[in-house]
Amino acid sequence: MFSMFKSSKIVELKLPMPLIKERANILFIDNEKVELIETLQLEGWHVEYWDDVKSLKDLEEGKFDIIFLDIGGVGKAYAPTEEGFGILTRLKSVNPTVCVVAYSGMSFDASKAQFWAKADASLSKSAGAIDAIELLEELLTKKYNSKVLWDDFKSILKINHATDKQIELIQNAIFIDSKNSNKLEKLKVALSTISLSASTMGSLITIGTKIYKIIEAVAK
Amino acid sequence: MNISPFPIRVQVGAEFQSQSGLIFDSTKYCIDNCNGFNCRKEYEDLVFVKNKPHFKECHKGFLICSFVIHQRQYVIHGMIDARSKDKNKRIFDKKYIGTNTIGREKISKFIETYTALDKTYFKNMLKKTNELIFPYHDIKRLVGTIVSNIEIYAKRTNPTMNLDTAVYSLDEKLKSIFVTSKLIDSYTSVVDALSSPESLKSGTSRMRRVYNAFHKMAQILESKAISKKLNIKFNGSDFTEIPAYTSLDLLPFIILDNAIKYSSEINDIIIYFKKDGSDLIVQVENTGCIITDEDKGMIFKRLNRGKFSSSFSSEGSGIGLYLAKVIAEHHNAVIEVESAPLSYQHRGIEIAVNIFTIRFKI
Repeated sequence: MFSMFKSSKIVELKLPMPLIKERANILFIDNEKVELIETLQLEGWHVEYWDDVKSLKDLEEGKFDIIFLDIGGVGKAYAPTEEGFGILTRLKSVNPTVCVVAYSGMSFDASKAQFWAKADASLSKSAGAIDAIELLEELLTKKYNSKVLWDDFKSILKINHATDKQIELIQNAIFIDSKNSNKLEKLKVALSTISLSASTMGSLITIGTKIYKIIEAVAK
Repeated sequence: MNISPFPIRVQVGAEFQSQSGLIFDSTKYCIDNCNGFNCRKEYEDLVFVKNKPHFKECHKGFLICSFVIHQRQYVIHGMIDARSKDKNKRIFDKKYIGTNTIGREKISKFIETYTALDKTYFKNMLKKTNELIFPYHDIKRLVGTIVSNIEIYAKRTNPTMNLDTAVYSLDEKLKSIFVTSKLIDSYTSVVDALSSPESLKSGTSRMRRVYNAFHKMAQILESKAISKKLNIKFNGSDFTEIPAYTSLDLLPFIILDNAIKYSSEINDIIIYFKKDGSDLIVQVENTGCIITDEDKGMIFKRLNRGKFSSSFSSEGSGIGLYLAKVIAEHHNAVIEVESAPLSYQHRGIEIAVNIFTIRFKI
């Protein structure tokens, strides 16, 4: 199985939806109760609810696979005037790989065009769990893919001025050493050669861990 | 403003509408001299030059002027420059001079003044629109609550079933509440979209199947169709994905709802899916009031309805198909209609097989 990575070539590995569902962490941030969460949980999704932005660090480091973010009434502590839009802008600048769904009461509103343009997708508050699941499955199928995750990983490395040699070393640490029990340590060592902020390091470890999990799950 | 007899034509998108009353209160002078709006060719190149309000002379020696106010392109034609057009001034003198003469300076001044007011006006208009639309936020949230509660109930009732199947296996009354809520959502989205058509293209596009969007909407509109003894049927399937915006969901809603509204009872509405080369073609066929050749171009224009539409159905306001066209264009698609008359009438209106074709360029 792992011999395919000997040349450090990236092979596209995808997880089937039931396994994605087991692993995916979903977050709703809305200052009002979100009714569809209960149905999503009954359907077996791991969904967390915040009535405001509780930890920007968790969001930036990619603890959640999908974040449903309300545009108003949240994030005032971090973005007093721009609220949800300010949070989205911040997240996308720190970690562009974070997947954010604009969760809004309005389906079409030109004044919110910037919010929708920055978000990865949008969901109206009139939507039920059926619509949410359709969107989740589509976004997560795209996301839970070793190649897509590695591309995300690589784009963060490049933003942080990693050299081609450093990227190659990290690629080997992820794909060739993925069978080793101390693989995470090896990845951290490889990453320590690049100057990274704590939150960027956290984001990369999160993505790296996801890639390991996909490789492990497919190997089983 | 009652200052001139000259006609004014308004361009909204590719559409031209005749209007009077803003600057001019009669089209008589131009009609008398040109037999109608024959100077259209003269100003076509003019109106497509953006943000360049300027004058041009038509073959009759009259001036044509184009300018933009409140995101609308205005074209004034048949105008005379009293100071410089002596030849036409003589014609003009006989009938209109004295009360109706206007110089280009006055028109320029008018345009400048209105353009200066444009930003303030538009800002206020947007604010007012938002105030009017704001309650929709609450309506949408309430719709979401109803939909979610029915879904929870369905899931608890049939825990082993897939959620979609569980909802559509519910008791007819509950299912009807679910479907009605979805319809309220779609109708409010149409109003929402109408308030800012440019936002129909906002957001990130996702790869989606057009077939799924039609299938989902057919499910929601099924009970409305049944109440008119209509069946919605699919002929063919195609799972091609296209880059789609959120607005794609409104397209099947508008087209199918329209087919239901304008169908005569006890008929089928058939949705065809086929490929033509790499193009994806979706056709919605219904049997209902004829769409005349004259109507074909008009029904996709804002606030226009077919000649027999209001006699045939009390529903409809002339905005659905306009939005459908805007949405189709945003998705690199073209929408057209054909109407083949059948040899009978219903309540004095000729019945025809109408086919709306949406061609997605893949």
